[in-house]
Amino acid sequence: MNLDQIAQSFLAEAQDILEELEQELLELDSGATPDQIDAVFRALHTIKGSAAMFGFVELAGFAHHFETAFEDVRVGRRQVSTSLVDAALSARDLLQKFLAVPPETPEAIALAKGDEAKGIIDRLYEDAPEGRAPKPKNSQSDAMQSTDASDDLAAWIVTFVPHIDDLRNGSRPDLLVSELLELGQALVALDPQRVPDLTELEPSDACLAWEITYQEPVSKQAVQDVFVFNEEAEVTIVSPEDKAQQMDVQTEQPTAANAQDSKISDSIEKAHSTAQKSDFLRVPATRVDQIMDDLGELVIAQSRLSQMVDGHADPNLDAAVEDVERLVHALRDSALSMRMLPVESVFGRFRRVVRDLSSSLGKSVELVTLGGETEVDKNVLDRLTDPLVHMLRNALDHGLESSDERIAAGKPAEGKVFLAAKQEGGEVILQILDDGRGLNAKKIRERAVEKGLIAQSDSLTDGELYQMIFHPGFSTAAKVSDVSGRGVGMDAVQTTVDALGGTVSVDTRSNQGTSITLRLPVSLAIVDGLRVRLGAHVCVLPLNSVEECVEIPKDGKSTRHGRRILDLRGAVLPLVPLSDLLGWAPRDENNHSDRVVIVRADGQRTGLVVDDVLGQSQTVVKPLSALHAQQAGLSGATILGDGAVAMILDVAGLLQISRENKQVAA
Amino acid sequence: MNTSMNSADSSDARVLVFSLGDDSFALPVSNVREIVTPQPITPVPNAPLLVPGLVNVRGGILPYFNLRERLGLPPVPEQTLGTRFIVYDAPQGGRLIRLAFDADSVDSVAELDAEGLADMPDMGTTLPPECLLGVHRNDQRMIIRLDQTEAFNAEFHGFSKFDKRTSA
Repeated sequence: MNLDQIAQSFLAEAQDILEELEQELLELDSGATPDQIDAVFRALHTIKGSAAMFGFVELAGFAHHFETAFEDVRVGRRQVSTSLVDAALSARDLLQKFLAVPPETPEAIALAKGDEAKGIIDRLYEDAPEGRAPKPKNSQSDAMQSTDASDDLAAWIVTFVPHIDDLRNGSRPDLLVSELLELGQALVALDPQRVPDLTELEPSDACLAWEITYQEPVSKQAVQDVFVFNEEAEVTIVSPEDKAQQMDVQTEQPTAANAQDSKISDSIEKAHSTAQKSDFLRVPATRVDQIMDDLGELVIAQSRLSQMVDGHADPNLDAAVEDVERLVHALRDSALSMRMLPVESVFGRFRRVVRDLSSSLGKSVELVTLGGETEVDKNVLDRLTDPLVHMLRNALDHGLESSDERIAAGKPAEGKVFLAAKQEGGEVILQILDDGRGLNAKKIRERAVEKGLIAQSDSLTDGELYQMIFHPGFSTAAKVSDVSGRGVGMDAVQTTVDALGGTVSVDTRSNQGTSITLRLPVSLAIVDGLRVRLGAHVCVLPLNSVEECVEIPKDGKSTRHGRRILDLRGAVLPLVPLSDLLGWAPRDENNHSDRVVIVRADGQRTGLVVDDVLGQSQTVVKPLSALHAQQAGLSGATILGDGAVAMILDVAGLLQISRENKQVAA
Repeated sequence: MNTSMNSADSSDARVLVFSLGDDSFALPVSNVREIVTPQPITPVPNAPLLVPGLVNVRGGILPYFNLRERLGLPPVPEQTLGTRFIVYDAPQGGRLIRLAFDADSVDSVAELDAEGLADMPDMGTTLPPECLLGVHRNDQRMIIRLDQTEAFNAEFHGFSKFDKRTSA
């Protein structure tokens, strides 16, 4: 790893810790247990330690104040208060800002010395016990350079016993020792006591231990920081006086230093409980994408192999090919699952949104999340975050009434917003539900007419009216607030959901609340598709938009107002040749295909005439390059069993273009 | 990876020489990813004229770029034994996009130094001048250096209009 990579991995790790920290801080709101406070403290300590290590001195300096405030909480000198959580959340956000600027640059220094940082530090220390707050003259960087300098400087005696597995884990005790020696003049004693007889020696065991006796005062914090990334090692740091006392008296009486030591080993032990996290690998998403690509090809190659083997009556060959097939599919499933993340990972972010919003709106709101363990493809989840935030904001701003209104309506003063996720087949269903006033069909109608979206004379059902909230440029909020109401939110939701190949619907009951339901494919990487033939080409229709395949009965085809229609069990559907939609050469006039795929898009059914229906299969979706990315009506391409490229069609997009063209023509 | 973004960089002396019709053309070899036998082109509905389809190159789906159309050369009736697809990292709006284009034959990799680059002779060429950096004389042949940014400018011809066929 070069330095840049190291800094990158620090940034990635810090980002994760900050996200966890946010959750932990939010949990403090509802009653703090010592474990939770420890978790916060550990997170801060890790961030500060690694920031200093990687040269993010400004960040480390600020984090130090943050940590100090929670140190006081941890040892019981102060209580968790809402104002402390508020300050801590702001401090967390500021740490995030620090991550965005390169360290030791004017920007970073400005951030560290800025009013925002000062204000937050003041708030962090607000009801701290006497003497904890930094002296005003202390500049940030001073405080960082000599953390608790006054009580920490001493000629410490450090014993360092690496964990027996350290060498196998890639740890370098020798580097740690030389790092310790850089801190100041010191004597080093090697302690070979743990080294077994040569016959029993396992060369990859870490058996040596060190005792370092400093000849000049060094900062205890600096010594501790050396071991930030070596949680397994036994490290004790004692002052010379205590050491002498220990040797002389050999008493059980716990000295101050011992108490200190036990605290360190205590926190080391706690670090162990979180060390299980190292069971997770941090892998760049591009590598997983590469695996998915290769696997997609493997699946194709494998199906070609199966086809070739079909002709041979060799049971051994058959068995081998079947094994390969089974393994390939298992491999594909596990590769797919690598991309899956629990929705809980974004739900967490929403708790913060709700907390901030409810206080700025002066409404009391409880967010209830259900089904956080439901897993969704990372790409889907990433793109959903913003729309979900929009919807939550809408629910809080427009959906929920003020406490007074709620009480008047006979409801509990505290509003509730539910965020629920569940999986159904290849779809994940996300629902945002509030127990507020519900949508007002009459107001929506007035608004839509006023905006010219519908005519006064149009008769729409309530359901159709509710759907209007997704229309671009529609906003029911009487006045525009910075929370919501610019009329872009719900439109953006619709756009994103469309792009992901999902649907969005709304249901509401007056005075009982509103629910908005998103149905989305679990993964974008693989789609269940129906292969259809048009002339020499094959296209794939996503199965989730296909209702059924029918053949036109001899007498079932007719025209109405010059448009072809299909009478399907009493329902009249428009009939459109798919080749027309694609702008491909019209089919041979003599070849009257009677194969029709009934698709549903935007709540309407349409019959697409194709030359042949080939069958259904799972296809690996490959995105189109930037040269074709603007192409409406396509959601990607895939490679068929014979190596040919097939377009994956976006039915809703295609029909929309066709409608727009008709309007232009008319 | 030593992919050059700078199209006008004539010091990039190593070029791939290929022919389209009667002309020989050169592009920096550093942007050439591979050369493969011709692949079937799948048309993309309503695609821009210059990138009408997609090809499968070793499991990767690449846009097919119609360089002939861009240079105003007549389409060839059919592929020959010498026809090759060249996979190329072409600059597009400040980024490199991997695409494939076909050539009637791929001739050689040559070192062409900047001194040898002469202005395109004004002899009634129909090639669009913005695509040309100049011409090298190599033995008996003339090799035309292409400006890769202009040559692969997919937006040059605009987009085929969707309403073309609705009016038909």
